[in-house]
Amino acid sequence: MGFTTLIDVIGSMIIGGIVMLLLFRLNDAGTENVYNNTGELIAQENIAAVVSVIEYDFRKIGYSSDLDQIATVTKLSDIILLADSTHIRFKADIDEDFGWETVDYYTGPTSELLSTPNPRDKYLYRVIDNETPVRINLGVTHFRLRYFDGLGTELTDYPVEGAQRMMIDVAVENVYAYDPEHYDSTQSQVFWRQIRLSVQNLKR
Amino acid sequence: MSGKAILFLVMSFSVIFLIMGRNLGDVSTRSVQNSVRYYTKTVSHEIAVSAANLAAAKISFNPEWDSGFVETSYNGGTFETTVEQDGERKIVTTIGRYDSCTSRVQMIIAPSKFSKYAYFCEDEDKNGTIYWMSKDTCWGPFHTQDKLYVSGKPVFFGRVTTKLGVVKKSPSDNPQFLGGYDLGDCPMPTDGVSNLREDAVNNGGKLFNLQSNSTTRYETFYLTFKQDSVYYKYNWREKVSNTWYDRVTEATVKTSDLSSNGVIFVDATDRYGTPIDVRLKGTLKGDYSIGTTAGVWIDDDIVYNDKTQDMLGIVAKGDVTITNSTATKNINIHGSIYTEKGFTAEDYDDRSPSSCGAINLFGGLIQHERKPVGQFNSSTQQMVHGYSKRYIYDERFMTISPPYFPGTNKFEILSWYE
Repeated sequence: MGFTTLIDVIGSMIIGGIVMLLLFRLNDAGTENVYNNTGELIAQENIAAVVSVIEYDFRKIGYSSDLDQIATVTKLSDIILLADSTHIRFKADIDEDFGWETVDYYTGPTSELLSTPNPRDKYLYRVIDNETPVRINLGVTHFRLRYFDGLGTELTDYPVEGAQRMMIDVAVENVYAYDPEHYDSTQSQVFWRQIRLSVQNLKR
Repeated sequence: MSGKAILFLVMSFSVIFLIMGRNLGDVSTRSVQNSVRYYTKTVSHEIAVSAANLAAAKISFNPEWDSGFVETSYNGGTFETTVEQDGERKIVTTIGRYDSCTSRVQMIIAPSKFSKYAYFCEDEDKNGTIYWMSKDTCWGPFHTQDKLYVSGKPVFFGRVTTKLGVVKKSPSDNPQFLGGYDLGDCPMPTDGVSNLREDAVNNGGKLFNLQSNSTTRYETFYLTFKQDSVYYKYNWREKVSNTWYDRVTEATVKTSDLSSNGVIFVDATDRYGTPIDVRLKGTLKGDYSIGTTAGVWIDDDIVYNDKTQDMLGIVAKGDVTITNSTATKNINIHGSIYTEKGFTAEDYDDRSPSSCGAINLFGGLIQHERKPVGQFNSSTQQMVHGYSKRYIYDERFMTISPPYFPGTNKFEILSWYE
């Protein structure tokens, strides 16, 4: 009895241990799954927030509640002051106060945002009238502007002149990954693209 | 005892997994909600933009349209549109609704005048294909109802529209559309000149109605601006008792007394019923439009007294021609020229570049057919005959125009808010 009992106890411990390990692994996998899904949700909500701001501002390129001010515009470079692949400066009456504001959008370097584990995220800057830049830290990893002329030819000689339409790409990632060691392989990215944005206020 | 432990263990993990499952479900739900929220917002915005475009199309077909749209179903949502009249302007406001989201688009439009164009042409190649070349630069809005022929790298600073596209002489040609490019249709009306005549008759303008008949024969009409006065003169012959006598009518009057609304129109015919041209020159003070059922000859500089205050429109049924004379060397023309024929220079192909110099046009050129004013050697890019061109757009024409200048019968967007 003594030996058989011992075998039973050892066997149960082994089986119980295996079951426990399985359950712990299962728990870990479940937790990771929940974490990653929540991270993706946050990234998705973040990109929606970023895009809302971008859409609000970019749709007003060249707009002014002061019609006389709009009338002074004769060429695109009067309102799109700088058009680079990651930096744009334009005029828009963002706050509808009968006057243009100069609006800048650009991204900072990744080295600027070391407080988050994600090595690729960076600040997206929104600057109104050269005031203190507003830093958007919502996990933006990619902000790219592409410009096209009226014939649909992409303008690549940055900073470009005469851009009539633009394409905007924004990608957002979760800033805190479950496994920061393996960011590239485990991290999913949320991507938004404005395929064609034309400047309505110069269509005269 | 061990059975109870196993049961406890299983229940504990069940609870944990239930919580995880709920969290995962919640994440999925919020994710879908977020996506739907963005989709709803986007669709409501697109509905509002579509409604604005529908309203613009309505106004394009019927400029008097101001009834708007009452709540109309569209793409799963609804829109409504109101049109308010503000002087000549119309304020079109559209509201797009989709699910719980509402978006607003507002555009302000106004009738468009031809004077807003720096360059307009209905027929580019009636007199042979004329290319816009590397040395050519156009400031201000540009439109052609034809193809735009380009060679090399001409620069267009204003917005360019063409009805029939762009034709490059070679694939490597690269026109610079710095104000943007689009297709557009804006035909020249047939009543542009006659409408101006009506305005001269009905709205306080001056109409010189000189129709030759069996006893009266009119000849050349001269109009010379002298600051705030104008000198006009026309020769005519009168038949009295079977004898023809030469007559001259001439006067210098204050321009504002001659025409209170700024329109001076000459409708004169010679003994054969052919319209008589107007010969124009001088220095202008004030805002005036000169119209004629014939052509206009520019005998000398026709310029503003003050480039920031004065404004001139030359509206002609026939050609606007620069006279072959020493006075027209390096001719200065201030104003917007509207001709239902073309803008050209007399004997341009028989005059040396040194005797012509340049045409210094400060204003705009709207012509039915493109006509040459000079010739150059395409390989050396040097002038061979006639005038070189220095056309500078008067940016005031973006917003204001000479009195009763012909309209395009279209509206233009002054502002677009979304």
